[in-house]
Amino acid sequence: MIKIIILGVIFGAILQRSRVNTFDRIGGFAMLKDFTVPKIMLVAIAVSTVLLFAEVKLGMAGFHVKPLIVGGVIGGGILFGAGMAILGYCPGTLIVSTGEGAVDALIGTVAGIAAGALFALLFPSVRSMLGPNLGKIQLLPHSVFAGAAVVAIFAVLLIWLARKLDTLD
Amino acid sequence: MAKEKIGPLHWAWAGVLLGLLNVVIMNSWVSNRPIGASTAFPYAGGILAGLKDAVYTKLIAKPGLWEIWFLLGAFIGAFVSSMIAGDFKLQLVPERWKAVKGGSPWKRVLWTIIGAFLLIFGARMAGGCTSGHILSGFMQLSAGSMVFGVVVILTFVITGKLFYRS
Repeated sequence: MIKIIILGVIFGAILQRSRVNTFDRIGGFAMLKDFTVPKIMLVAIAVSTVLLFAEVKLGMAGFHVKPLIVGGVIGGGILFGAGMAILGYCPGTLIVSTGEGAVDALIGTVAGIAAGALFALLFPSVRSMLGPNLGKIQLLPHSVFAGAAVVAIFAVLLIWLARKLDTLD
Repeated sequence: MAKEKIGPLHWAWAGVLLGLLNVVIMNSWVSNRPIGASTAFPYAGGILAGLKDAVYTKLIAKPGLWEIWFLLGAFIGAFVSSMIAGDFKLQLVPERWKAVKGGSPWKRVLWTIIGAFLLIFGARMAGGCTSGHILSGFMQLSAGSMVFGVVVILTFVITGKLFYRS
């Protein structure tokens, strides 16, 4: 428990210090006036893709891939994208922004908990509408060399995109 | 109390640190799972609403609890670092919202509630959010997370275009 809280403290401090958690950054991205959010995400994904691949191949970690549940991922993605644009926060940054005094984020957290309770209540009937479940699909070849090549190309592409977005800021 | 603010962390460093943190958390001896945030909401909500024995609450008990502790830490981390850096500020209507939508607090509260409902309900339908699907799914080249990411970014930009039209 203490370990998880410490990891959370680091997460919160990184986001808070980069200011990527704020409405001005996330809402600013929805208005296409600020690209801090995608730039940080792209770099984070590039770095973690490469390091995780090495970590897994060295036997120090395993992959934890979520299944591709078509209706859930597409329907949920539509609601999530619309909600994030209007709210100007995502689930993690709601909490981080509440920590630095954003009262709207605190209200959003309470509303989000209520929405979560509603989902738990409706789950038995919502469940059937989420499918079909295509399983855990990973776009990563089994061979180490082919895997390493895919990972490297993916990471370079993300960094290139982040630098491209930086010219717009 | 007026003190000098500490400038923000550069985006490239923030990205590197965030990526490193996710890889550390994934380690079998650390948490053996990726970063995630949205399961904490239905788990907390389920417990508070007396749905402790509901199918869904039971299904998400393990990740739900992990994410509650993780977000408690995130809250503490953000509070402490914003205090030290001098950017802790109690504010209801964000500056950028004010510039486009005006300073009405009720308007911001109403849209906050609507936005948060869509956000959390959507995340739970999809089984993940910015953390669990986009940060953690893309780093594993997960097809499901990539479909989610593309749908989210399209809807996010289109909604932004329509909603913040000035």
